Amino acid sequence: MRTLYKYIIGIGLASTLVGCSLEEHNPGGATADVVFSTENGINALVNSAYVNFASQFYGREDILMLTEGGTDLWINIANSGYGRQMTKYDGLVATTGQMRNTWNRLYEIVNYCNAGLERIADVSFTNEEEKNARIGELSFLRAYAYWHLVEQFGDIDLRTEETKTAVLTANRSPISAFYDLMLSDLDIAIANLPVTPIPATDQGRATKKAAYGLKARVAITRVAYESSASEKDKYYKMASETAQYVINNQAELQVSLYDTPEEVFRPANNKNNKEAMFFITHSTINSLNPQPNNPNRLHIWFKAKYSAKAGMVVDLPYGADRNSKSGSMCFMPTRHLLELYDEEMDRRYSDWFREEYYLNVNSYAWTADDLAAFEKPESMKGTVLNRGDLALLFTKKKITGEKRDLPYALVDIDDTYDGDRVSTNARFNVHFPALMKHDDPDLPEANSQAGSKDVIVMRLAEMYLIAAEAETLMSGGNKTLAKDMVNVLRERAAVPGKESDMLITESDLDLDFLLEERGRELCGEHIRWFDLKRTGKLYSYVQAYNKDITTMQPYHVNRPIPQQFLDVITNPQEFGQNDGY
Amino acid sequence: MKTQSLTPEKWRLDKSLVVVAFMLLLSIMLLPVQQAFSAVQPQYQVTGLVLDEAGQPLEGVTVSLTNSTVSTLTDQDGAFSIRLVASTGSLLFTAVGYLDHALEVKADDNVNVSLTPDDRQLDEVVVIGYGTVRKRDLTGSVTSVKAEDIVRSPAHNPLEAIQGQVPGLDITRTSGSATSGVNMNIRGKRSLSTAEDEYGNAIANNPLVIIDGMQGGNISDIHPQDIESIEVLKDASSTAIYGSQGANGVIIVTTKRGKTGAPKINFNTYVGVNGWAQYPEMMTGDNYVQLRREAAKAAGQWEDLDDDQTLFTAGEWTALQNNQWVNWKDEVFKNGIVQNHQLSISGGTDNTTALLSGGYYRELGSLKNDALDKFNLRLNVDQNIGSFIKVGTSSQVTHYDGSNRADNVLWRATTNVPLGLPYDDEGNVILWPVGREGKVSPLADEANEYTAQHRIANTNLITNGFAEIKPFKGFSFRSNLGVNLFYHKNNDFESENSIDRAGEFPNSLASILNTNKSFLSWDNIINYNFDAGQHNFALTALSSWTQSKFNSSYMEGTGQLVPEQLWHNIGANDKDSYIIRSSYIQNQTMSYAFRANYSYQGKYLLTISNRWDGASRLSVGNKWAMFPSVAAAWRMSDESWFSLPQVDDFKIRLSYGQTGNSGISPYGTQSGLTSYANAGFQDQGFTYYAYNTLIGNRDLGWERSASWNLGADLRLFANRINLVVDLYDTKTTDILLPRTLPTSMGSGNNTPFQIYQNIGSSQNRGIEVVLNTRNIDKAFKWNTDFTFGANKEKILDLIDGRDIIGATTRESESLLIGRPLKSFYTFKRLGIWQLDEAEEAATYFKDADKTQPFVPGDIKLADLNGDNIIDDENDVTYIGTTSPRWTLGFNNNFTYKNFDLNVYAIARWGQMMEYDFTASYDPQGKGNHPAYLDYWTEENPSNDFPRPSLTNFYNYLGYQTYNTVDGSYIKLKTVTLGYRLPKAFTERAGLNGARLYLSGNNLFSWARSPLVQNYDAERGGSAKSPLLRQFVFGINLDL
Repeated sequence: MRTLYKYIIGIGLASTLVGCSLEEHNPGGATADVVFSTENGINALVNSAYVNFASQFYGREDILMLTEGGTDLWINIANSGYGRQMTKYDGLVATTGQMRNTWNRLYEIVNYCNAGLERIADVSFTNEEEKNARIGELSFLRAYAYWHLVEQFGDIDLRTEETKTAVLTANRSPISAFYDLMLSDLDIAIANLPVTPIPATDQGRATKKAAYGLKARVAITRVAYESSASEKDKYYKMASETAQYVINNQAELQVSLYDTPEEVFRPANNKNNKEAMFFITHSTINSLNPQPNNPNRLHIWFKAKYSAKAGMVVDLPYGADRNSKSGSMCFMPTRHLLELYDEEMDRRYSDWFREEYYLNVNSYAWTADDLAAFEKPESMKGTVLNRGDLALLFTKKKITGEKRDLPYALVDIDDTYDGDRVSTNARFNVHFPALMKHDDPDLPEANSQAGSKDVIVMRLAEMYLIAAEAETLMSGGNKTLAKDMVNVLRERAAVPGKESDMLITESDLDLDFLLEERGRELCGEHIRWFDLKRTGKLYSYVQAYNKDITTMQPYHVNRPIPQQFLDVITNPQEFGQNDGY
Repeated sequence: MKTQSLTPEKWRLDKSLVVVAFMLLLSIMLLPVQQAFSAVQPQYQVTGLVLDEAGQPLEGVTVSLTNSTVSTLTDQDGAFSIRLVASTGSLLFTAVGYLDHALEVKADDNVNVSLTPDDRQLDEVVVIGYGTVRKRDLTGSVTSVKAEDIVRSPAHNPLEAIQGQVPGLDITRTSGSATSGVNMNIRGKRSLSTAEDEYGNAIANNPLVIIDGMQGGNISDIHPQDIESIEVLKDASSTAIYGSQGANGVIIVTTKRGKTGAPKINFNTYVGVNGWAQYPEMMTGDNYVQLRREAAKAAGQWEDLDDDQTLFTAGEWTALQNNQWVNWKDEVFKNGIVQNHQLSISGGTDNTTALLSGGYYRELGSLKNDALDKFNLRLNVDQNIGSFIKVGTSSQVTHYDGSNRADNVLWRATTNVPLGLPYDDEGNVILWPVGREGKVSPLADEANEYTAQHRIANTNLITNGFAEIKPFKGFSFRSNLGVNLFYHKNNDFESENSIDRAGEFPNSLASILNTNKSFLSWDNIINYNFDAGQHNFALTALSSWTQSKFNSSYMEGTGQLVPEQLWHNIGANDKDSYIIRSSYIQNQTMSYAFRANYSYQGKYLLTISNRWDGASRLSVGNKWAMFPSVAAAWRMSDESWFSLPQVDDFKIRLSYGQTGNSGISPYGTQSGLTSYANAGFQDQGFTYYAYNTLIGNRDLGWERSASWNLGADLRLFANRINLVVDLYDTKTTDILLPRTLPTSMGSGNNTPFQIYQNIGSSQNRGIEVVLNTRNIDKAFKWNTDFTFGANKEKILDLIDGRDIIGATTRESESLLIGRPLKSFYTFKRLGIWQLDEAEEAATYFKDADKTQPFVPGDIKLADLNGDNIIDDENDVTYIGTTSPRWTLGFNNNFTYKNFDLNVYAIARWGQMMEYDFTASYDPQGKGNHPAYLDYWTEENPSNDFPRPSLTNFYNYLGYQTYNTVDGSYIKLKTVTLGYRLPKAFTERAGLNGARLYLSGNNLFSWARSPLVQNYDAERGGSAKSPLLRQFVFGINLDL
């Protein structure tokens, strides 16, 4: 007995004295130093730099509101309040969530790129070309992220190193430092990027044409920050030469124009688009989208309300009008945008805007409610429409005569708009010609948010417009070349038989015309706000053409520095908020 | 019975331990069979009778053989029989309320003992860390709750049952859902750490839970009926023996054990109804239509009734024309049934005591298919081996089988348009009550059995074993080995028509989450008590080791063809849809501690302790820390000069101690990466990494709390009044804070980087009062227990001496110097601008450019910096905290003859809560909100809510101020009426006792804020899973 308790005490005390290991055991975890020292790790890190562009930006509304909202082209459906901080500069302050998110997610990309560019030199790849391609991609993505950052927020914190320890102060760097870095990054990208992705199936990786395209865009943007004519010309020239390089080497760079505007945004052409120079991909496989509920929901952001009216039901070809049905969460064109098009000769309007809705149920008899909804005469009650009959027409035309007596429901431009502003009549201010560039008839469900189309963020047409603009505005620029560049796009855009009507002459060329042409060609493509800002027209165009934006101030050309950032740094006074906020 | 052949002689230790285990098992089987043991005759036997001062037999007196583990209890006739180890021995007679009595005996004596009452009643034993102490010798602040107070209100979670009974212990139920638990804090919050456990629960301010001497179990797993006592250790001197783990206080649960003597059988059962929750009514009818008109009118889009149609979608308009209004809340709410049955059997022989207890609990919540089944089985066994070795086990298995509803059912019911039809003519759920333009029906998941199922299955095992050796007088060595195992499983299936997928996804989603955790602990404890004249010493030394390992695995797939397969065949889903994950978390601790208690004549008491703690989660070089404490007490009433006859007992206590907190998550000092595979280039999937949000800090050390506690215990007027008062002051330094880095440095998957630093300090000061009084003590008895706790919590200092503004949610995550830890920081709302204030309103602006003046109907906000511009940098301030200023428990017991009545009320005062209903105000009425929210119109100049408009609430400047309201409340929590059946009746039925009772729970809550109506504020502001009223009928049987 005594022996037993001696054993027990003995074992107890022994264990007590031996103690136990307090080492951490973390087999499921991973650290940057380990993972990013291998080829696979670097490849994964490059992937990280791409992910936010798809999961947080292109395909979602914040970036749309920041790049197309608040311009001359778009206004909230029914002039409602959704995202008014961006779309109408109403209540845009340092604590606005979208500012914070945009800033954070772009800087997150910068940090991945910094880490990759820092670490890749020490990692050997089995295929040197692949390593070069990754260097090129990281350089391209850093420039692309910084272009967004500096254009949205101005002269902010320039970071070129991976975050490994705490630094609690921040300083502003001059805008020229950002542009120097972007241009040198893009030269590295041009030198290193292949023409086709490595591996070739990875459609969506940055390739050589993307780097040229971004360089042209960055160069022409930089003009805005140069004060001397010679410096401006230097960057006009760089922009023009770079854009022309792409235009002149289409076969080598594997990019070309479609024959018609319709083909550019034809859903079937979305995934292997000839004209795209850089695009943000979304997957048709749900599990490959970081936001599986809503990978690309641009398709719901331009819809007019059509369902549950005159018998129409939501279907795949007409798309999900779920946001417009609540009357508060999508974009309608301004009257100005609609009037930019001469639809008699410019087919871009009919190719890219939807006016007509044909009945998509077997038959429908007009009800009193629906008639009242369109201010149609009660006497039409019971009149029948059959499948395929025109049921709704939301047109940019002004219709005269007994427009309410037509067999279908008609909403014309004077119903949708009251002069230059969106009508306050709730019967009509949700019905308008709707942009179709982002349509997705391949949704999993007719009313689904979950679109899977790629978002084209740069296409060849822009190169023609950059070259034209640079040559027009550069001292001693080649106006003939500029005119020809514009005419390439206009000729393609011509309604058959109207080609000659579409052609312009050198005398037509000026900044306002070029911005109009950009509007006609690129509306809804995440570029308008940047174009107006870099040309100094943002404030004046909004004042002139978007009368529903009443609270814009000149200082709104820069976004506010997020309060979250200023709250954390120890020198917020020194760093300072952007002017006006 | 064959087992009769077993005799103690055969129970030899030189047999293998297997025999011992087998024997333990058999002894349980034997419990109800008293005769089996009556045949057992020890070699040296002493019998006797114990009587009280009046010569009446005393039942339940412990008779123990000194210097051994042998003990027994007297029966109802006061008789006992005890076995001696040798031919002579010394017996000690102890009983609560009586002085100890020692007696030398020899074999075959038959003795009569008369016990002297101890009217100070201070010898009640209180469990403290790694030991027990008589209440009279306590030097620290410990509140003890005994068995009868734990079962007073019928709850399946013991913590819910003791709510309000322990001052300084703040308990709130997390939700009214059948599967929910409780939150608890002792004496406020002191840590800012965001550390979480493996299941994602915040742990930095959680008290340490010790069950039967071992850590690592869940109190909620234990059936209240099985608990002997719950001790709450609050001051640093009491908790310091637990070192870092005890920094937030310690809750010690001791379960009942078998006692020598005839088997005792208890059967308790209750059946009741859950429902009739306090929950506001939503808008309907004209009220609802009027809001939509007002909103459109404010936007210039409504003039008269002709414009009504433009307010509504086609589906809504049709429903409106047909007068199809629906009260979604009433459609989803059901009354649930709750039932609880618990049977326990205990008893034992001289050498073996055991308790076996099993229970079944079933609760049906307020939503259809919200249900919980809970099964628990407990086995406690103690076995003496020879005269100085005792082994035993406490083991328990608890199994939960629950079914949840989707999180948003009730929220949809409260915010969906109140129009449409819930069911069609055949009684089937209509998925889209106002057409596809509207929202999915809150009833979607009730369409059929396979529309959606959310199941949980948890099995928790606590198995503790101990061996205790008492080789010589005053010395004991005890080794405790604990193994706790947790198996959790979440199975979910949502079809394409379920509430979360309808209209969003064309297919179903099935998933399985499996987690398991093992928690091992091994404590070795040496106690040595000895006297030197009038000096008494009690020394304790111990070592403690713990290890926790956690595994999880998750799989999901979408697009299953056959809904009836639920999650049972995830392989049948679309191959491209699979998501799989697994994780592993391990950590361990090693500790040594020492404690010395000294007492001189029981008048002067001193406790000194120190603990050395090591934790794997801290960085190398900072893993170990030391936590000392000292406490002293003076029983003034024992002094010869103390001569107040009204005072029965008066003691003053003073303690100081340090505790620590390693409150970071495992791996919190490592900079890690998380890999993902949910992205690709088009359909080419790839792996990518995101930085973990936490950047490792290799210099991280312990957070330390230093606490003073001054207490006094007072008993007056022959124990009619019992008062305990404690004052305390805890200062926490080197607070572990996850500090946000500038967002230009990047982030981890959209969350700004954070780094743990030891910065800042906080203070908790407070007073706690327990007052027990026997107000009337005649045939009619009235006792009250009053507990009161007030705590003032504030941040003393932060890095750089400036406030830290919440990185993601400024309103609720900011840290403000001089304010409590969880503060709200936003605009100060003064009301609504009224018509007669139009002129004044126009002098204030919503924007820096002064282009947007305030107009009547806008939210009126205080302009704190006087610049006439209301902005969220200069006009935001501290407006309140979630920490209550004080809490109160008020319990009344009335007994008259066979009737007993218990009325129990609690109050929690001075805190704010994040209130879903005020935040749900929908100024355009396109959803719904409570009808009592009174909004401003020209005709109705309300001061509560702003003017309706065709925009979301968050477009109103100052809308955030509606997220928080005063959460103070007073609540009548429980009323129980019991009736004890007459003895004559129970005896005839062969029962020792029987009581019937009716009890009502969550009866009525009254909130201080006028913005909180018809809502039980104990729920803490959420609109989901309200606390339910519960009415039960129960029976307690003693067989």
